[in-house]
Amino acid sequence: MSRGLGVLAALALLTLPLWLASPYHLHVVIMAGIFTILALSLNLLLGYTGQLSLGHAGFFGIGAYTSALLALRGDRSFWIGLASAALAAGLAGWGIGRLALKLRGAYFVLVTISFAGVISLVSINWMELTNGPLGLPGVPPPELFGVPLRTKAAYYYVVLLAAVLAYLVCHRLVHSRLGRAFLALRENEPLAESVGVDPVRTLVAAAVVSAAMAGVAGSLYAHYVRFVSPEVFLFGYTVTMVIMVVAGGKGTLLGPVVGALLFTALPEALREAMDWQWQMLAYGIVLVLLVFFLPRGIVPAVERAWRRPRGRKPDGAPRGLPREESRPPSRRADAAESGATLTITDLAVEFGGVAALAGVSFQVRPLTITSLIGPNGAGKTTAFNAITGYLRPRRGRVLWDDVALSGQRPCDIARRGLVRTFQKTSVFPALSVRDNVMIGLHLRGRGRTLGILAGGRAIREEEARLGTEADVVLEFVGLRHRRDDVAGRLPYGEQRLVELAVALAARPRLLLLDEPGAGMTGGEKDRLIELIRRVREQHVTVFLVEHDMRLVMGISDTVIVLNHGRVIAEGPPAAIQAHPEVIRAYLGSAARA
Amino acid sequence: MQKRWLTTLLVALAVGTLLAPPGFGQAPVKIGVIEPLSGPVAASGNYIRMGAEIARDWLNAQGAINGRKVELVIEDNKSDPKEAASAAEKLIVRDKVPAIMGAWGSSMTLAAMPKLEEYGVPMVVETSSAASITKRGNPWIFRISPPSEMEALGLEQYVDKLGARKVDFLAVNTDWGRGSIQAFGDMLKKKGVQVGVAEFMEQSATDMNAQLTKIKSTGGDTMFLTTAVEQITLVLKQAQEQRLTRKVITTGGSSSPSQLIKQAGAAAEGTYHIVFFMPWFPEAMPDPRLAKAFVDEWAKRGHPFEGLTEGFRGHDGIATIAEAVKLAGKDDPKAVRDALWKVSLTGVNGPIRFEKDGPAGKESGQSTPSIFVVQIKDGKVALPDFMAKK
Repeated sequence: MSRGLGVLAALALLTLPLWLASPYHLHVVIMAGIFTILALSLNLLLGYTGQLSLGHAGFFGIGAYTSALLALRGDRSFWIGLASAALAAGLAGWGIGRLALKLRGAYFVLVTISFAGVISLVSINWMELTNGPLGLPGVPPPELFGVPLRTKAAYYYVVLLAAVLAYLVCHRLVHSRLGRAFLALRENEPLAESVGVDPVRTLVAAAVVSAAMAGVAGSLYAHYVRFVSPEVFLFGYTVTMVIMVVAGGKGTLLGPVVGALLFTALPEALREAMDWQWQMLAYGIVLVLLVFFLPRGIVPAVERAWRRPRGRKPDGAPRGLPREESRPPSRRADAAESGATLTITDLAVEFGGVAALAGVSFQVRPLTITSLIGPNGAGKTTAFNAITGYLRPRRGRVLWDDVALSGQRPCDIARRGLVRTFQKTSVFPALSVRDNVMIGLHLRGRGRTLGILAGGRAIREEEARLGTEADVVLEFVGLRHRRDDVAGRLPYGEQRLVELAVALAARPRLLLLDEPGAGMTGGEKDRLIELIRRVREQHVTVFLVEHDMRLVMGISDTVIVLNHGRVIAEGPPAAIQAHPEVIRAYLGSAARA
Repeated sequence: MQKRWLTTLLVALAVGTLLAPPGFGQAPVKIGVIEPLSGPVAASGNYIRMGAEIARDWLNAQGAINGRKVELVIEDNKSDPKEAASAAEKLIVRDKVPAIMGAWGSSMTLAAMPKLEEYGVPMVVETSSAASITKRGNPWIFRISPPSEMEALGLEQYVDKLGARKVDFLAVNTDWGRGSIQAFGDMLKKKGVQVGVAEFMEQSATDMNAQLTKIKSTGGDTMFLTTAVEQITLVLKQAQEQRLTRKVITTGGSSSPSQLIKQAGAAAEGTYHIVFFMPWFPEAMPDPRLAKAFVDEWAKRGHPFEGLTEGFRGHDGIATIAEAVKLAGKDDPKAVRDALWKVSLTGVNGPIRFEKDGPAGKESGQSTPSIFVVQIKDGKVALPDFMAKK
């Protein structure tokens, strides 16, 4: 059914100039194609990484000017211009990404706005290069084997090809480890970092690809309208792109395509339908209605309507306890590799003069289960944050065997095999359980941006391998039946298991669990204890922060007790339970309760 | 259910078409208009539209074009070149207009020009001043507004009377401002006038003190000012605060002295303004009766007086196209193009006749518009002595 539709759509697109009699309509289609590329490019940033670029007209304009100048001043062909436009805009994207993506959100928006403003001023004032406000008229049409492609039909095919390529680029990216990293950063940045996603690098890659695509659109624009002036940097163009992405459905592949087609065709349809006074008004009304009734965009709404009548399988699938015979995640049983010691020396963290950790020293020995306990505010989570790079300690050292971890970023620490979970439930809420685990597998993939764009067998095989591994991990934690459910809608206890699955997927050598049992029911806790034991059997050291004494005392080899930012006791559970200072500080009240 | 509704509609449409009076010969002559009707320069675009509507109504009241009514198909280019190109495409392909008037800004006109060439439809350019428009070898362009060079040449005869010996320039940083400085600078140098500094301001700038300070330091006696009326107001006020005692001459014809008197007050006193229409003195225009009628009709419709210095362009553009269609005897674009070369009429601005401009064989048409200078004196717009004698 859907394949039939696809073939029909492809046929329609390929023969369009034959049955679309009016050149005016073909003109609208060509503009729609150019804006499709722009919307797809903006969607990579806005929809997938969640970063709003309000300077996209800047990348578009750089592409347009690069291509036009090469044609007019350098006498280069359209094809060289097209490639150079992608290159120049991509380079600008890299620069902006490096500059801005360390500070994200509002800062990124501001930097991109100013960037487009500055580029626009350059185009107006650098008379010698750009001819300033006079613009560059007479950009030639492209040539193919020396034949100029003057007709609209010919240009249509050029634009169609580019738009299809742009779509494929997005498709490949989105279904790769890089695309999942985009989504991970949008959904939950700390969690993404904990499994080794490098935020700056990932976002810069997104910015470069996105900007290069916008540059291609700029080149296509220049050679079609055949006149480039500083107006290509109009803020209105960026606004149009944002409207297209949001109305079509951001974070979907087809959304920007639908948005671009609709919002290029709509103003022209209104031109035909009514006098100019009413056009803007009607456009505004359509926009308001869309936002009001389909706030998430057209494509998600259609998808939902399409799915509903077919019905979903009831969620009554067996509420699987981990089956004993389930194969554990394949882990290298290399004792030498797994057996590293975490050594903390004199670790101190202060929050505005208040010492959360006042010089703490302890060791987590290889292949043990070590618990860190203490009353609320003792500094347990602070210690986790300082060890895994989320906090910068005031002094002290964190050694992983003989490698110093202090000062490294969370994603680099994850790369060394230290993976943590979070005290508050932390999943990628809008993604399926399986995609959550796939993100956990980030460090297990090797594909780089260019390799992913090129496709190829290695990448496909890697995807298949990662998919299998994800299923193994899901089986291990007993979430197989939740595979396709949206993580954020699972019951609380199962969300905690998803968290654990994400961390396990990263194949940690040291797993740091921050209150994994919090909020779980008794039965769920039993499963958890069982799971933690089995994790250790896989040559993983487990380091645990937990309040539940039954859990702690039941599984720990060593217990470390923190109070007021200091270690007050350390030893096997039995010794700790008898330790007078511990009883006074913490266990006393808890045990009686 | 829905299908029946559709069928009913189709039947109704079909019946409607059959019942409509057949008379093909009575079909109106459509003329395309592309103006910035929304966006930052919407006021100018709308004044021109109002002027075009007056021309249309007058034509239709006087027996139309060979019995066929004139109909304007008006499109908004939103001050965006891409929109201007789309609008031209739509007017030509969908509405099959034999000619277009537009598209105000030079960028918009330049972006629409490839479409004219692609389909072979003429465009009468009513405002754009960039020299390149008629120099590019686009034989479908007919311009009735003066490019900056022509405006400068028009002023040449008055330079001595204005008493300019050493001039500086302050212009908006657009194609218009830059072209203007170039053209007036060339003309003045040729006349042996000393040229000092040329300063630019961005379109949205509100503080021009830096530029004015620099101009003050040259010790010249005259400042040429090229920008929109809002910015002229600011410049004049800031010049007054800086005690910059210069003769000020604004160029471009859009300066609307009446608005300046209202907004800049005393700061506008004594300034000279190049205009292409003097609604204050219709009797001093080349066709006083037409000028008077236009001013009266404008007032009758309740349009703002300030808009007249723009609105006349709309009238003259439509009158030019209508005359060409009349001469061609049909509304075929090529015939209208050929007829445009034969047009000779007097518009509100003055005589309109096209001469060849641009590379041989593919010349564009360029008319030589009349140019006038007015002065603000005692809070009123006045004819300078040297103009009144004419």
